[in-house]
Amino acid sequence: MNLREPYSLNQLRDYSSLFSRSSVLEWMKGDFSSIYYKIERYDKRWFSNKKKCYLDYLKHVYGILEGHYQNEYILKNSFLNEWLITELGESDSKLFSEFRVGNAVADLTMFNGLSKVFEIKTELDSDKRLNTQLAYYRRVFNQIYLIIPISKIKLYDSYDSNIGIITFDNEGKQKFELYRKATTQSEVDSKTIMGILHTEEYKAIVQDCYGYLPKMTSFDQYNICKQLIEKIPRDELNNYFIQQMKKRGSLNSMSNRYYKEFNQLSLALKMNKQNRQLLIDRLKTPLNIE
Amino acid sequence: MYYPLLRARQFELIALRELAIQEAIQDVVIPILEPVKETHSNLNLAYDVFNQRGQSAILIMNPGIGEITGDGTHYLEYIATLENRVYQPGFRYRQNGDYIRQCIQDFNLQNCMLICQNDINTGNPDFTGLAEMDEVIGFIVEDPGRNRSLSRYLSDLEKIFVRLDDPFERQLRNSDFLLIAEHQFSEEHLYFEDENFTGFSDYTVLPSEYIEGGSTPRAVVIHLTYLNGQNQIWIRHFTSTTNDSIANVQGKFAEAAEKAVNYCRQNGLNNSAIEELMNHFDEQHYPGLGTVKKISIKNHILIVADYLRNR
Repeated sequence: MNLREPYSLNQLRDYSSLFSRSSVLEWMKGDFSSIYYKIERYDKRWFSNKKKCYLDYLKHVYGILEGHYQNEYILKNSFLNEWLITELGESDSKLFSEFRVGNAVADLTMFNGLSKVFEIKTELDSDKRLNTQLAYYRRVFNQIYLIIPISKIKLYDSYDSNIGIITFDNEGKQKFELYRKATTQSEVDSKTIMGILHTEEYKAIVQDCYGYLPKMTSFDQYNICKQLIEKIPRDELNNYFIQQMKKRGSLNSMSNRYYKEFNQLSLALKMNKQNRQLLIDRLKTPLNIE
Repeated sequence: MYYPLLRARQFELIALRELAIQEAIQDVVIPILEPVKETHSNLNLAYDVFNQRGQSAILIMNPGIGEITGDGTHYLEYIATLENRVYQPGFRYRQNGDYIRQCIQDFNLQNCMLICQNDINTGNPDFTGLAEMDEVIGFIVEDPGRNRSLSRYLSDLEKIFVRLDDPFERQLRNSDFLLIAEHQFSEEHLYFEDENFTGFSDYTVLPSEYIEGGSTPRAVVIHLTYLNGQNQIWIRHFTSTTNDSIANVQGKFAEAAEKAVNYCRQNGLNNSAIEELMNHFDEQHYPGLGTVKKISIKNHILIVADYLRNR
């Protein structure tokens, strides 16, 4: 974390609560009190005679956080904007935030031709759970990347040479840099994948692979499909899995041109284009301060 | 009279609609509904059934939870549009006597019920002024034994006086219910009249705390209440056993349902809720978690209603 005057750590922490799920849900309901509290507390002078809207204020706060307070939201959002969105390319690629794999929850995952997982470790995170997380990720993803502060390279370099490393440096010209490319493996584990798939997804894999669905009831369908999926060659299952994940949920509604401050929130709240537009429209309401 | 306090959500209201259609509760149960949605679609569906079947309910006008909370007029305007008085106005009292009096006046309300905590000072005219109005016909008080001055004051008013208890012990995780043996749930139905209450209330087999949404659970639990030999209400928490991941919720339901159905068959427990559970189990059909909740609610209300009707 990089901390410079004139913002106190408490102020930055307080600011960062604006970029949270609960704040967005309040704004969607038309409750902007969280924004007014911050203005009242820190930014009475910011509000000039020019007409300004909520969005202007949030951009102002985001700018401060980006320069001074690298919490996970800011880091994830910067990574999305500066790295993943360009890599996303193909329109049918899919990104997920907080993706559950066994007992681990991956920070970011991407499915295009390959499955990739990105685990973020900020200065504040310990590497305590990393071995468990990696063990799960190896069973499911083709490539694993760690995103770590440049100062911590020594700590993470030796974990596993198959894992890619992307470093970040707030001071550097380019914030994120590829330190080591991940190797690709496509031998996935059917049991772990069954734990990720929704009912319709595992049924679709059986249907696609075998051309039919056996007679099943809702009680035994999981075990019947599990046995059939176990028999699919691992690299083929990898492709079926990626196909299903690309179909999951609605299209990602992110943009690296407009309102990029909100990309990670759009992703975390699984917003579609309409919802994102609704949020932006609400935030374009002029601030009402005397 | 039994006054189950339920959030006016989809499956809670379906449970009540089905009970009203079966004419299983009309003379002994008046549900208290706390609306949590801005839209009225679920309330409208329930209104139609209640209206046809002669069932009434108390609808809280100023909910403490949900999409429209606080002392507003959203739900007052809604009941003003309804033809018949199926929904009786209820108010959460929280030092807001002026607001409630204003609502009674502006909307010409009758038969209002107040839902109160037990921390009310009976010397406070904000409360007593309201409590003594003719338009206020009753009180639902949380754990009233803790404020005897309030209890005595309300008893002396000779209006409806209902005690609200919260007997459901929520666990941190659903899977924790696996370790909990059957235990006593409530006995207010046995003693409320002896203790000078006109009725009793609880949150059925749901936690009093309101949680919006919720994620896929690691364990499925079917909470079933039943009367023991002494007519006390006991509860069993039939819990799935494979609870190590969120996968296969259908299989978890099968595990929990198997335990519940076996227990009910062995002990001769049956009513329309249990029958529905047995049918799903026998057909190996997973009905969804909303229906599981509905079955538990229906079963509990039926247990109480049957007792009150047949005592």
